[in-house]
Amino acid sequence: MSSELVDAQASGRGENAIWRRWYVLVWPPLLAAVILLTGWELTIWWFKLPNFILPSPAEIVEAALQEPRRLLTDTSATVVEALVGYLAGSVLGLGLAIFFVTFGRIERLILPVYVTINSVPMVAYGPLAIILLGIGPSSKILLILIAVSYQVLINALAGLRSCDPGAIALLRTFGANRRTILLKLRLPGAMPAIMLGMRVAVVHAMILAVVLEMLGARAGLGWSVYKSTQMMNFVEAWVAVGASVIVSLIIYAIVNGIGRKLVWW
Amino acid sequence: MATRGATLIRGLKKAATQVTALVALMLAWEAATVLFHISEDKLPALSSVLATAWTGRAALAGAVGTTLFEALIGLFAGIAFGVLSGIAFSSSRLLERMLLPYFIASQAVPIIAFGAIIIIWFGNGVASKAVIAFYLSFFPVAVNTLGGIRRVSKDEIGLLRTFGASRLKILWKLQLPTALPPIFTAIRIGAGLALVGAIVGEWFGASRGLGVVLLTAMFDNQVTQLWAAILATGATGTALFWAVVALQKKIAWWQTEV
Repeated sequence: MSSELVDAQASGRGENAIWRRWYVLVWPPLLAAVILLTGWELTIWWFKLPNFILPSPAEIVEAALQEPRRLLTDTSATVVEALVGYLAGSVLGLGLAIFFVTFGRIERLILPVYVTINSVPMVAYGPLAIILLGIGPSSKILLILIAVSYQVLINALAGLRSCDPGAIALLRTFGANRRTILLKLRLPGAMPAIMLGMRVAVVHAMILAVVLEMLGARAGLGWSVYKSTQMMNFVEAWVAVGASVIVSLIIYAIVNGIGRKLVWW
Repeated sequence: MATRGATLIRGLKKAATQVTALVALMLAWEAATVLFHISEDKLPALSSVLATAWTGRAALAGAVGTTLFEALIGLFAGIAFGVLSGIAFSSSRLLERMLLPYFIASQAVPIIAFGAIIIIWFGNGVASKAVIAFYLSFFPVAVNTLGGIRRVSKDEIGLLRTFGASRLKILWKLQLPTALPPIFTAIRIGAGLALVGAIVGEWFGASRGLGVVLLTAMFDNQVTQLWAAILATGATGTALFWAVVALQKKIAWWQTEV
């Protein structure tokens, strides 16, 4: 048997395997979704549940399509808060980590303060932020910024520290200065840890945005959830909850995708 | 023995740094309010926050007790259900493939938004907050139980099987002990989430608890009272965290990573 033939066979099997893998990975969750949705509709029909207890999926989609503009306003308000806080927090966290690694002394002064502030669940600061900064987006952005920067800082510090001392010594003998070592060795080595921190942080950012809006806001998905439950408009609450779930999944997938591109090795 | 002593010393040093930082932060807080004449309704002096907390200590302790009770009921249920579903996933590929994607996706969404709906279903009392704490805490426990059980190698299972161990025995003597450290990691995360779940649940309607104290202070614009509640929340969360760590050291003493 010539080697070419073997190769062709192997690659053929490879394609088949990829297809099979897809098949195996995709149909079980789809089946679960079908069971869930059918069960959902059947439960409503069987127990004759009124829609304030559990609206049907169709009702929720219908309500969402009835006022697309308001849904869009609420969604974009939440996304803007989450993303602004997330981006600023990531930059701050990464900056602080690099600063700490370069000037070790300062870390001992600032890091414990950061740890202490973050030992209180961030949502507990919510009411205070609302009093001090008002119900606008700034109160949400500030708390998201603190939470995200902490998460990124901790992960980035661990990543930057995990660098092999032998490699640093080697680069130094080649006459590399601190900046070169940081850019060429430490940062690339820390990328997986940093991306992990940023993935966890983006989830925190969305959760905080939604939860803090429940305390008071001008617009936003969390605000919509709160308002509609207070006004007994429960289908509306389901619409906002559903939208926040979908938007979070999309944002998470995007961050995940960027992470894979950046940390391709 | 020597390494144990070294670990202890390192731990004490770490604790000492943290305590020093805490004291320094408290002093800085107190000094800043006095030196810069910051008004009471922006940042009250730490001493007046502590005084307020002391005057209202009975009410504050009651609030902490209520919230902690809700969080703990939910957490215990979450741990039990999480470990059970982790075991179920590990023994059925199909179940894992069907449900695990949703479990993982659920960690990427603000599932706490469902809190509003949980309150509609379970009412204004303890039950609804416990349910929120439950579903927030059981996801990480389930995922880490599965991951921990997967850590066990086929050879180890094969060895026990040749000795005639039943599946239940393998699970109890080998798989669960191996999974304990990641399970405890998940419980640490879950405990924090359970506390947050109970507090946010109280925002949607409750008559007692830390969430109520926070919300009332916000509506009444009582910043000092608010700070007292924030400190109480932080203390409760920290105590919960260290309780889990202590439990882990006792139960899974062969591997402790904090």
